[in-house]
Amino acid sequence: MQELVLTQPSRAAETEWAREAASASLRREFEERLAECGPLAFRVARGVLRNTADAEDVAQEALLRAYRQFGRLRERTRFRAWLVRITFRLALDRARSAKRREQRETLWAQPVPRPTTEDLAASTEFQEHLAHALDELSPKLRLVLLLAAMDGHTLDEVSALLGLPIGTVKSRLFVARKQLAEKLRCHVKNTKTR
Amino acid sequence: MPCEKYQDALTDLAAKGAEPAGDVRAHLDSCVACGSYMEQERFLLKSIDSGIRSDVNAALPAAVVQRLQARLAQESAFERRVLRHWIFAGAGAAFVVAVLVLLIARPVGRFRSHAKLEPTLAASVKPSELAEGPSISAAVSNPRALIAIAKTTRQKSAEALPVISSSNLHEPEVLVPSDEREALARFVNGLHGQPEVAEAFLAHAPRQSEPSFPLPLIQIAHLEIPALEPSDDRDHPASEK
Repeated sequence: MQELVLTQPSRAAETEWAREAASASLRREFEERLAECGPLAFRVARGVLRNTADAEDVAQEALLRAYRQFGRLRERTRFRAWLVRITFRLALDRARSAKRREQRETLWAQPVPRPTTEDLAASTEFQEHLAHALDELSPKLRLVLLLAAMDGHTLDEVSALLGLPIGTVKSRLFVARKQLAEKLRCHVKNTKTR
Repeated sequence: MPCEKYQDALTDLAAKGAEPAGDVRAHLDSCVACGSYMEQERFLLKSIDSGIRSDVNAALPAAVVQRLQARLAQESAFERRVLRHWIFAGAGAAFVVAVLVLLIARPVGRFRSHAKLEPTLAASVKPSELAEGPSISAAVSNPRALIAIAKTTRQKSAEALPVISSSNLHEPEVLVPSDEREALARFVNGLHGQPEVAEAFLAHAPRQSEPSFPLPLIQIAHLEIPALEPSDDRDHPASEK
């Protein structure tokens, strides 16, 4: 004999309310975390893309994805590590897109005032060369370099964030800086001789 | 050239951000070219760091946070909508499944009730079995064929299931006119395992001469009808005119 079991409407409503309450709690917790992790995502994206508009889009997308996964990533360290990785990957994908690259190059062609004390760093030409050199770095080296360049990030924090031994972080940072120096040395000489 | 030997070491030191020590320090103090190279490397790496930091340490625009919060609100609303849709879709799917189950179960139930009325015919007399021996239509017209059916079913009744199973439902139904169906089923059921009964039942009865009762013929008396006599005209009012 077959039986048809109908769910009680009151029970379904209770389930929905409980779910909504849990969702609201999750959202509150995420918004608290957002104050801390929002800038991190934006900086990683900005470091890869060197474009504010694109970096905003990527950071927003990464944070939305993080929100969807937040139930599994409530632990602070794990959440930050996941967010850095997903932002970095999204930013790389965006940077590799030919269309976006064209837009970015158009933007970079315009002189952008930069609040920096270094004359050379303010040079648009050097920034372009630096951007190309960074693009040629391997993602592993690039991520370590970007995270280490962020204010308030020590090597220990980078190590914890990426789940790597401190020796590996130091080694990657050294290799990355050396490769950049080798690629940009001629440009510094040219700039200095002018 | 001795300076070339030190240049790689000076680059490494600049990349590490470390200060020269030992013989490298001593060479730097004595060699102006290597001192200049070291300064150049430090300047280069400082420029690189400065260029990276200017990108990496940009402040997060407040508009991004606001947009993100708006998106989160949309996301929550969307989740709720999706959840409701799933609930309705689930209820609808359950209803459709229930209706389908009822529709599918109904003809089976009808067949089962029919099979209860005619268990022997449905369960033990299969079309394939009947095909081996005399056919039902032949049996109806020929009583000897019925005896053959009874013998066949007696042999196979041990193998046949008494209760109709789902596999029997896939067998095509034996087409017998509805008015003959019940009678045939009962008859075959009665013959089941007892062909001698069938033989006795179908044996030709001896012809008996029917007793005659002679009836006397009906005697009808002869009726005489006398002729009408002429009557007086004054008795009739029409003749007065």
